Amino acid sequence: MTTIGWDEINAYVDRELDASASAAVAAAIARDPSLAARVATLSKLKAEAVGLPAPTEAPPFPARPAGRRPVASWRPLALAASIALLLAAGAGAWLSRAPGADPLAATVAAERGWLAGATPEASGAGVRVAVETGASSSLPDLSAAELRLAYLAADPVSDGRRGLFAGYVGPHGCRLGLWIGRGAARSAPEAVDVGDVRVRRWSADGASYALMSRGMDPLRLDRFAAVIADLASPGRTLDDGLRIALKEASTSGGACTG
Amino acid sequence: MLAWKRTSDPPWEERSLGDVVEQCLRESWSRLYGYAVSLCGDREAARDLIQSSAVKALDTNAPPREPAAARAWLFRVMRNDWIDRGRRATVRAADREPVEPTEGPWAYEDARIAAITVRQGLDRLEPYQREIIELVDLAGFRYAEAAEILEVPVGTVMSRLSRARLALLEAIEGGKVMPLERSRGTR
Repeated sequence: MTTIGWDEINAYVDRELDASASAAVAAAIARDPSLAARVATLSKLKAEAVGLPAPTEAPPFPARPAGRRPVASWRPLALAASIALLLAAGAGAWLSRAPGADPLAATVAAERGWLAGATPEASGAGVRVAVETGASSSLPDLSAAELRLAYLAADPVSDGRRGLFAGYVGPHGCRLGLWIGRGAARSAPEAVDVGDVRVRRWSADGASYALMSRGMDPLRLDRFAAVIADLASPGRTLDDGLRIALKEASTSGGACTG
Repeated sequence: MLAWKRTSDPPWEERSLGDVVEQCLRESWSRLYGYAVSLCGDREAARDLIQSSAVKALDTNAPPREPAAARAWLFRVMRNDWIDRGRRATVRAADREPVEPTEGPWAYEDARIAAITVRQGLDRLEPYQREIIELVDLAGFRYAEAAEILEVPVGTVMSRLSRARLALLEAIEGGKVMPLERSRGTR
């Protein structure tokens, strides 16, 4: 007999439990085959429901009511300002560095600490800030995968290819970094791991991208790279299909180890 | 090259609130329509509902600024619109739900779960059961977001969702999911 309730089993499948409750359910699954069977059934049910397509016969989008346009334009944004500050500071701070370094390898070296779970450093290579807003219009919205923007750093490379490193954190602390730099020829995501940091790099639309993590399962990283590369394609916007793809990517492969 | 993407659209922070709402509406249009169908159980009524709700949303002076919050808000606007049309009695029927199957062996045939059986099963559910699955699984809202849309506590979302999934499994399986509990159920 299991002591895990049906509501809790559902919340476990939905990844809505906190770390300790989730661990308790996982432990119970390991010793109770009937509970494991319930979880398997619910997981399959959810996967099929998530994959159902939206109706195609939706009516046309209505015209905006004339003369009633909300006009309260908002120009925040601490984050936007932070990005601008970071970029300006990064540009100035690193102009004296020797050119020629591989910008991706330099970024991995500079951000290895953050990827490993360290808090942003106030000094050292680059200019870094913790981010509290969780998202930015200037960076991909990965909230559908429960990844929130938590950290920004100016690329510490000064050979004209400086870019931006954005750090995302999952609900259980999994860390994923996205580097955006000057573009190369268009290419599909490929694995270019640097030491213990798994890296998927691609280029599109005049920009180079690299997705990196230390603890994320390689399969999951592959899936995220594919979805974010798709999102980066010209003319592509974050629609329901991509949100679902992000969510599915977040549950693919093995669990993140940090 | 420091923006996330090159696009003709301005970033969110440079758009008016109306632009934020319109963008959210366009991106979520098909899922909103799916939710409308879940609420109404009728495609013609769903088309009326989504059109009406969209006009109300676009006409709002103080929508949420953040896209994620705006998306949840749009679903709530539509649900409130649906309630205003006299469906509140149906909403209140949501408390009559089955007993949870947490004890004993689990003999469910997972092989029966497929896209087509799930779709057919959803069509056989009560509207309030279909609604919660539509919000969490199809539209991808977190429990807290669904709670905000439905204007209920998160705990209610948890229990409503788990029982809706149980009903869905029963609909797929033909009533064989929880033979012991069925006789004590209240459905």
